[in-house]
Amino acid sequence: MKRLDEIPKKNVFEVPDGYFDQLALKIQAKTETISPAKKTISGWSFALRYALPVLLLVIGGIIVWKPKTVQDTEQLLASIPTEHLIDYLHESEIAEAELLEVINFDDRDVDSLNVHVHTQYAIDDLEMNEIKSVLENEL
Amino acid sequence: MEDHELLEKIRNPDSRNYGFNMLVRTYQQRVYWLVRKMVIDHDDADDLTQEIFIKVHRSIDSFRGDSQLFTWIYRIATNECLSYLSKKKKRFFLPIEDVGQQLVSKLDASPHITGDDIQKKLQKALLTLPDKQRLVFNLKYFEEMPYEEMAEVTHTSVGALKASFHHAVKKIEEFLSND
Repeated sequence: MKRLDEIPKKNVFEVPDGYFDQLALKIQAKTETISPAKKTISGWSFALRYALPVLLLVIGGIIVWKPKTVQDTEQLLASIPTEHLIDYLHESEIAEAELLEVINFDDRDVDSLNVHVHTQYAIDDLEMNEIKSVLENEL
Repeated sequence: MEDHELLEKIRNPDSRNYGFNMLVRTYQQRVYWLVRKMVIDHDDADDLTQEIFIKVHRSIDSFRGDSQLFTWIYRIATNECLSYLSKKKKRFFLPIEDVGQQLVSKLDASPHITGDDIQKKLQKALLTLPDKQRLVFNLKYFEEMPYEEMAEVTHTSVGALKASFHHAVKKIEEFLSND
């Protein structure tokens, strides 16, 4: 058997004279006319790659921070004496309508408010004579 | 010029063309000879080498330096060679033997091939090997590339490369003895 290591190692291939100088120039001519591959990002790809993580971060931020902020505010308000809060509301220029828009009423608050308002309206609606007659009858 | 200097120049828009031209001049011969040994014909090797460097140019920005620059270029070159040979077989619906025979004909007819009979006989023996095994043989025998670097280039384990090379040597020696 003929052994491989008995054969002198030689490159049998040849190139034309000056080939490699021309090759470099040919490649240079081709590459200088083309710009490097730009990563074209489709709308969906862009949304998935950039917008979606941002959206998730925003949603995550809202979930994490919003309840904590409300809780913090409620804790802060709870620590202030009621008289001071009333004084502040009297002195401030916040309209009642604005306050009503901000406050989240629960059922108990609404009932309490109804009783107060209706009593007030009932008193306002009574004529002075009617009040006198009621007082006389009661006394 | 060192690889990191080449890359710095290529990444700088002002010196990009100059840097890439330097890269081509640094590596064109090694790439060409790798390709030439695989496709045999000079014109085919010329076209393929140009395509390889255009591909390198297009994707050079994605090179992160995880391997040596030349290993990365060689990976592109070997993929292109194997892909070219595979397409050639599919395009003409040729059996492997016929493609090998075509390459043997080029070996006999090409004006750019020298060497004595035994050298040509060795080349003909190589053409009886599957393309991937021929690539492994060329990288080890002619390029004297370490197995570890070959593993990076070909994405094949060192053990598999050693086995492939030794099997190739055995087949070549049988061919040389019989022919």
